Amino acid sequence: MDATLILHLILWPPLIGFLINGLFGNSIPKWAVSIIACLGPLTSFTGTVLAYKFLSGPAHDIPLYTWFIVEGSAKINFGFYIDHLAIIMLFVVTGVGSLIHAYSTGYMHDDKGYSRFMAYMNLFLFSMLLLVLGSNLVVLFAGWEGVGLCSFLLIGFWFENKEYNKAAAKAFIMNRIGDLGFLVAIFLIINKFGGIEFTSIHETLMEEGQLNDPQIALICLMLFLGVCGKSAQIPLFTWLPDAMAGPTPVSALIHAATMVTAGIYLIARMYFLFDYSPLSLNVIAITGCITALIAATIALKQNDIKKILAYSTVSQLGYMAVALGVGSYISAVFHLMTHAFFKALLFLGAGSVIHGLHGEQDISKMGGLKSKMKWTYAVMLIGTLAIVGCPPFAGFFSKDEILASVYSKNFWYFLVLAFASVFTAWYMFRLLFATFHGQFRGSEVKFEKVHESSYSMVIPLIVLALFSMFGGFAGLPELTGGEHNLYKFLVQTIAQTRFKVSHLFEYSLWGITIVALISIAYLTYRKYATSSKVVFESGNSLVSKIILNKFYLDELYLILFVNPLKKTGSWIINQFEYGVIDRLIRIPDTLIESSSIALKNLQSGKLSWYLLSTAVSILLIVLVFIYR
Amino acid sequence: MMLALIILTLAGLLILFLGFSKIRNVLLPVAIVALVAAIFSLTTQQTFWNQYLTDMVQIDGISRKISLIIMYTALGLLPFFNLFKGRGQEELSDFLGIYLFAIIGSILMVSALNYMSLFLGVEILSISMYVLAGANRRSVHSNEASLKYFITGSFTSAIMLFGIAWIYVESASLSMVQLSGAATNMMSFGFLFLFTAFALKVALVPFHFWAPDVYQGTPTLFTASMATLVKIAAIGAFYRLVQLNYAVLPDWINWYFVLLILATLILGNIQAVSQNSVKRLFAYSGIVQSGFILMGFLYQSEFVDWTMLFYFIAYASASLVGFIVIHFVETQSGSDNLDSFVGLSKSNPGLALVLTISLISLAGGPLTAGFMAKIFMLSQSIQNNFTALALVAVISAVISMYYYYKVINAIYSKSADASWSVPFYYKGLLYVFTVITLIAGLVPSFLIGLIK
Repeated sequence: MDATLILHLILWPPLIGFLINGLFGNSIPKWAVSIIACLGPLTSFTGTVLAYKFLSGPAHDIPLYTWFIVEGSAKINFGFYIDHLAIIMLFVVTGVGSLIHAYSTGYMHDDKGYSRFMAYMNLFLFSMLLLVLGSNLVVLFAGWEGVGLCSFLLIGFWFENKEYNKAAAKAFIMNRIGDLGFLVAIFLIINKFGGIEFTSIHETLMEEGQLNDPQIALICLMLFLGVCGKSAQIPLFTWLPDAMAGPTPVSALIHAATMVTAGIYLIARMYFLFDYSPLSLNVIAITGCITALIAATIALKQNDIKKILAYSTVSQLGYMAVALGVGSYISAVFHLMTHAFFKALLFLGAGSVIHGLHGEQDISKMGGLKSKMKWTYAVMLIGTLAIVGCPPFAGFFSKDEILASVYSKNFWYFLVLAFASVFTAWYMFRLLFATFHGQFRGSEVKFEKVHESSYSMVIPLIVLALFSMFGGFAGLPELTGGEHNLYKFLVQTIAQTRFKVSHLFEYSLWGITIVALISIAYLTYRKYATSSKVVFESGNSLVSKIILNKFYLDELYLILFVNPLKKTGSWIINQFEYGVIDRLIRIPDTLIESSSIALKNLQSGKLSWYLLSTAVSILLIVLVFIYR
Repeated sequence: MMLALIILTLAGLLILFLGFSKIRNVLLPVAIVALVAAIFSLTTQQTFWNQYLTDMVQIDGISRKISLIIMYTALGLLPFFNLFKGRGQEELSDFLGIYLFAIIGSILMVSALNYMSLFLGVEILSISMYVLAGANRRSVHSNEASLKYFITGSFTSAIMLFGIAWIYVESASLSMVQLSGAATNMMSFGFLFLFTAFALKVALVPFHFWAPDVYQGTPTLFTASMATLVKIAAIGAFYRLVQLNYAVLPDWINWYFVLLILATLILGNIQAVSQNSVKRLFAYSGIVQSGFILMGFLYQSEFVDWTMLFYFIAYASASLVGFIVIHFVETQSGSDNLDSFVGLSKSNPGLALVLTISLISLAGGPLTAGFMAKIFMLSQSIQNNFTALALVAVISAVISMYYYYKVINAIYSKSADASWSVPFYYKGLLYVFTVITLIAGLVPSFLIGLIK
């Protein structure tokens, strides 16, 4: 089949859905809105399957038309690029996207902004496809900004709530800081390579690229600044937990499965550039390590079910960043994929819990929901096992691969990630047990009202649970004697050598993992499920206080950046704007006003005065022209 | 052209006669038919360079176009005479007949080739307007306006005749085309007075004092014709007079115009700022707009003609709408004060919309005819090295925004009384004028093509 045709089939349906629902959503019935909204992602998914089946060869470059020309250097196409990496991303985006759209039709059905919500979701999906499919950095950037905008719109979806608006603004501003780095990187790339098509940059690099070229290092670091914003790495990650203000499907789709992984995708896409700058790779790895550990630590003490998952997402993104940092790009993409499955599952499961509890998000007020929500409990269990890395669930394979590849490069990174893994297991089991086991900690009346969610919500959960169970088999480690199919597939795009670790290490890693998981599960079960009075953290000791307050990072940013900026701003408006500019502007204003009132008296209404002034005027004119 | 004049004269006489014989309903149709016929005869006229009555009048490109603009403006205003119907038909027939004579005067003015016919045109127009200014016999203000207009007008005529006399003394000819080389001092002196008389007629600062008083006292529909028809006729005749004699005029005459323009733009605007009567505000607006048009007098080129004509159309279409809306608001609330316009957007959204567009156009807001007209005028000035003047003009336009937007602000202020309506045919006409304003602003090339 023709690549261009498939591209159109993938790219445009969500945009059409957005336009229809956005423009006419209020005047067509709800079931039509649902169908139109779900049709877009489903068509894109079909297109992706077609692309996987029928497109042969390593890559398809589809320059639709010349978008604009940078005078003297680069021609920028509105062009697209379908290769193996793009196809994997497309499967994640359209597959998970379709499921979450279906879920949303149930979750958001009674919201008064239903059609607006579905329109935004479609627009998001379109932007994400633009991001994934762009054949150059500018198209990618357009998508990058598009998903940022949709993220903003959807976090602040319930805009009557002022706090939610603040969270939306925070996400947007933090992302803008990163985007600035991205933009600078684009300019530097145009300057250095004279083009921004991925293929042309790659070719130029192959010909004349030098290892440790400072210019390339700068470009990479600037790109990574953009990644820090979008993929929530230290120091720009604090927006993601706040972004949980949005409806839960948004958290699942945008802030767990797809948008936040855009940064990981960007680095994987530009891996050839990063290969030339070991320095920046190290920066990425270290940042990833710190992010993974800090976020996992914070998650230990949170009580809001969505916030725990949010910090967990940040932590997992840290894992992926480390994998990228040690040059194991394919492992990062592998984890990106499995993470999309199980984290979307966990979020949607959490959404089902929140839905069932009529908006309650605090796990200290839950407990014993197992009996009431069987399906949700089952899928949440699967999701938890997948994320903690229990064999043979999806997370086990991808996480194991990241740990092994990191170990082969740098022991200290490995140690940090291992610690983070232990924390991950702890907070996830805590969440699971505190929510579903033990006694319900709310009132009886509330417990009576708890209900299982509708089929439109449960069925996507089951599909995602299946993926979380079996998704890992796409990349079996060689120890099992299986094939690493994903590696074979992606290596056609990402030319990366496979890391080597000893069999002994692999075995011991597995053994330790299983033992650690069982003991953590036991400990958390005793703490949160069996005891009649579960104690939740209140921040008595100094350490737990610091963790409970998220390392005071928000407060630190407030003191370091926000307050000084606010003060400067208010100084400018009070002193300069009102004091100087306003007064200057008022001078001609008052001058005209007062002279107008003075001149008004000339218009006395007396005819004799008019004629006199006319005669005098004539006389003056005549005199002037006689004695000129 | 002669045919047009004859048609209008006969129609005027017929209407006066019909008024005597109490035939009521045909008055307005007769006037409209006569005017349409006159427009038709002038439009279809093939030879443009005809001189009539032994060189007394000449119809050339510019005079024909100005005459047409005058007649179209008059035609646009005619249907609103229907509003007088309730007030006895003698009055209606008088107004209509006199109105047609005023049109004749205007045409004669802008196509005169001899000072005699020029003066005749001015007088026909003026005397008709004196009568119309006092049309509301029971109103003291209307009588006052008529009297003030008449006395100022006589003064103007005297100055005009004085100027003509000087020219005649020097050239021994009343022809407006002076064939000799440069004008002598005495002749220039004559021109100075003649021009000053026109400045009085057009109401340029410092000869503008009469205008706001007269405009305010006159019944609004006749104010509308004063502000559009009479003004265009006066400026048109003035322009033609300058154009015919441009070669012989002394250099310093440009400084005379610059002085008038500066005084008009600055003082006119400043006086307008503190006005509360919307009618007076429109009077000042007309004064300032004339100042803008006068910028075309400073140089002669083929572009100036259509720039001026474009300005006439932009000004006339916006101004007509403005005055007619003022008329309706005035009849509704009994006053033309700014307070009467508060809440117009709620009580009569249609009128509010057309008035807003007309005000934006007068202020020179983008997408309207006024914007393009000002742009053309300013770019002409800059091309002819009157940059400083153009700068002053821009600043004056900025000041004028203040009082135009004051009215718009009032229109869209919240409080609204009970809504009221205006018959659809009047409203439809206002929409037509507004559409002209918008078309001229959006596709100026279309209108320029028509003018050329």
